[in-house]
Amino acid sequence: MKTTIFRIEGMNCDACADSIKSLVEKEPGVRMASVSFDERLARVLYDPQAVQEDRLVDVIQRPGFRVVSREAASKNAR
Amino acid sequence: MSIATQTASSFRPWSEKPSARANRRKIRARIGGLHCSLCTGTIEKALGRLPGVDKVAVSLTHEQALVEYDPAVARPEQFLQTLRDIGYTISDPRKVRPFEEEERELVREARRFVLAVVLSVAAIPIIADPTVGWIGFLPALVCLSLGVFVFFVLRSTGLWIAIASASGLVVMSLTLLYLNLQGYLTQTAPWLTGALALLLVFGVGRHILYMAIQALRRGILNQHVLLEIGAFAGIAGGVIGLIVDRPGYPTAPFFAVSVMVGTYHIFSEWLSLIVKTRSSQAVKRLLDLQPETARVVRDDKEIELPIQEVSAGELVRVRPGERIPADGIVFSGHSGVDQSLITGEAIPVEKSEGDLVIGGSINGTGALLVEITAVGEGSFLSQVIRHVEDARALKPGILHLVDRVLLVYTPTVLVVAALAVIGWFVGSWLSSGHADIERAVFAGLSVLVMGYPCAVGISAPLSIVRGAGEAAEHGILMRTGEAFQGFRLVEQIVLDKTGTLTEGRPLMHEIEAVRSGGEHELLALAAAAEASSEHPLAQAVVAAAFERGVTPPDVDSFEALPGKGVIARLSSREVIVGNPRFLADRGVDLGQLRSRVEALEAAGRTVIGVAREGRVLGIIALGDTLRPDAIEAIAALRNAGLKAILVTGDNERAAQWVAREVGIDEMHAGVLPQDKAAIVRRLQANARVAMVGDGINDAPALMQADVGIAMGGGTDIAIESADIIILSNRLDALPVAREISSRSYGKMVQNVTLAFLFNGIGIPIAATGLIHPVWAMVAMAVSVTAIFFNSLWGTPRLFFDAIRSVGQPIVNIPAPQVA
Repeated sequence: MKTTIFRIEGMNCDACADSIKSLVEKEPGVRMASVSFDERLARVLYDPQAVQEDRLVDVIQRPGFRVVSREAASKNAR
Repeated sequence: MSIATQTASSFRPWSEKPSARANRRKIRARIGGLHCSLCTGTIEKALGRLPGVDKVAVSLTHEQALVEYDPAVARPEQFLQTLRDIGYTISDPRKVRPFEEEERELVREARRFVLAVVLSVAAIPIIADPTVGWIGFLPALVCLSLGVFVFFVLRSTGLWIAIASASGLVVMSLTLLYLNLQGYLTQTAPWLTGALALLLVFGVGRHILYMAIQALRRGILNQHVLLEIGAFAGIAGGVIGLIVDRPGYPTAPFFAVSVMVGTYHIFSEWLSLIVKTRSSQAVKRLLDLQPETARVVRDDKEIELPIQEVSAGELVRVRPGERIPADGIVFSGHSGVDQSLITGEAIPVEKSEGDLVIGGSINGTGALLVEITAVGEGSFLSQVIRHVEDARALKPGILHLVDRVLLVYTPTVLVVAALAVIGWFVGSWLSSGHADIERAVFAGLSVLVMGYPCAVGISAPLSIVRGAGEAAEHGILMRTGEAFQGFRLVEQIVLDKTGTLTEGRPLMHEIEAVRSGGEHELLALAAAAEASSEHPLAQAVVAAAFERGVTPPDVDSFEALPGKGVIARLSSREVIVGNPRFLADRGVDLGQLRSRVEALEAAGRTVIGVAREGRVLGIIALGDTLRPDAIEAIAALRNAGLKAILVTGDNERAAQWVAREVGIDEMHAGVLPQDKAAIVRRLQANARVAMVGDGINDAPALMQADVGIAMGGGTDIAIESADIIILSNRLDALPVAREISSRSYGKMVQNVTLAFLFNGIGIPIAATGLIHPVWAMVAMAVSVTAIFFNSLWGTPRLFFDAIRSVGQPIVNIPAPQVA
């Protein structure tokens, strides 16, 4: 399991955040996702053997949002 | 899983079955031709009079009738004949009206309206009389507003068609006005308007005439009857004018009034149809219309078939996460099955070889091979659907406001008309020695023409348009008349527990690590071990880890023991996660945590223990939680004077906990689906009841209640059975919906008052026989305008949205399955 934080530009409201969340969660291999409009970021827990990080970037960008950076969340800690 | 997928197995247009009482049978039929809320009473009376009939229930909203009778005395054919004799049609109650049919009806009604407007817009310039002064302009205003409506009706067909039609109307009316003002029409005007009136009453509006005749045969004086009285009085006045041919007699205006009242009536019919269709389409959008299929094992091969083609005795493969297609017995395999359709509880029940499973329940993590024992009529799900259908006819109706007023108003108009005729006849005879028949008839006809309050038809739909718009802003879908007129009257509210008052899925409540500060590690290990499981408890653990920013480490190997727990290897160390008793069996000593486990389990929590290399690391307590707004929402409802009652399929202990938390005194636990409806029925003896629920097991009760309220995240059957759907899934929408109900009822009362007011003033004046029929048109124009302003002041958008939102193709939703 891996958690990655994506910094996203182009969200206008909470509805955008909700639609990114449901798009990402539909992807096989993604276990859980939370998207915050206020912080402009998405946090995704996924199985790296089932889905690649690049694939997740594509999923987020397809409706027109931009991923400006991504970082792995440090293991077992906040 | 829609009610629509049930197939009809018999060719008779009703469904029949033994009643709960001895020596009695019940039939249910779908009735067509119900034109107003007074019809239900008429049917109940007509059938109740027949020998051998014990009980008759008719629902207006769902067009269903349920008759309980003694088969030794009465025959069902006799009931149907009685209904046909008074002009109702009978159809199979198990068939649902397809989307296309609704659309066709809407197009037909819109076309009628456009045709009626053409006739009206032709009639008005013909009778325009510049000598009467400013009143002459009011009809022009009516013309203009009708033209605008035509534009909007045709707008969805195409912009150019709409523009062309609207400008065509303008050109036609201006041409006729020019001809009129030049004096070319003096001779022909009565004949032209007469032709227009006949075209409207017997052509475009013949369906109204038909409905009015039906209503008269049933002894009901409804809107349609009142309209035809007005229209025929206008035609009669015109015909008399043609015969007596006296200068100054308003022959053409009499005919024109017939055209106008007919147009407004058709307009209101179209508007109420829009309101009705819009809500039913909104509900269809919520439903999962995917056809149900099953993976049947035939000749060692798995083939996917529609459920209707599966028969008892066949083997069906059910993969993890799939719905079990029909009732059966587990042939092989082992899995937890979510049977929330019976109890409402989403916590899986363990099933293995030889156990019974129920169609519609959801398979958990394991694959099952199921031998089907019952399909169609005999299955548990179709029993629930039958209970829903029974409740549909037993649902208490309400007499709609307009119909209640008409009950008094229509006879009054007829009496006043008769008095006017008699008064003039006798009065003139007494004063001058010879009876002025002409004046007497004129006065009577004027009263009848003035008597049709044509704004009455739009008063209810417009207040619903406004109320539905307000409700939508709060994430509430109000779909039936019961929702608007009934919810404000409700005094008791029955609430389901799981999924309604609570979230309906387990969440982590507590975490206790043996080593202080070890919570993160504990959660990470538990989440890692449970990561690949779809079990709701596992989901809850992973979600709790994710929320705390804990990423579960990778697992080397993993073994799940259903009902017990998981044994995983992480970094070549053995981790056990599961039931505390399972840990004890594997030789793990829980130590001082043992008493904590007992306390948590006594409070209704599910406890999971975590151990590494045989040593306990801690425990996690999971359980269903109250929705965050539950306590506040129940308090608000109690403040509004409602009595709250908890009804659940879950056990007593869990029910008590929730009831105490939210402050509900009366509760019923361990209730089966059909008994929920029975509880509602019993409560209905005291006062009107609303039911709030989300599950399949709530559906019969939702249908039975005066007002059924479904959570938007609920099951399809629950949503289909409800009058109000809370799309936001928030309980605080309940008091809001009640407020909207009373507010839009208030609007409705205002509108109906406005509608009757102008005609009410007009009738006594008309009875004097001194009034020109053009004043009836003035009253119409003023009252319609007043109601439009009153309903939509500040929010005209709601009205145009309502018109636009129907008849559009639904995007991204597959066509409903034809059963």
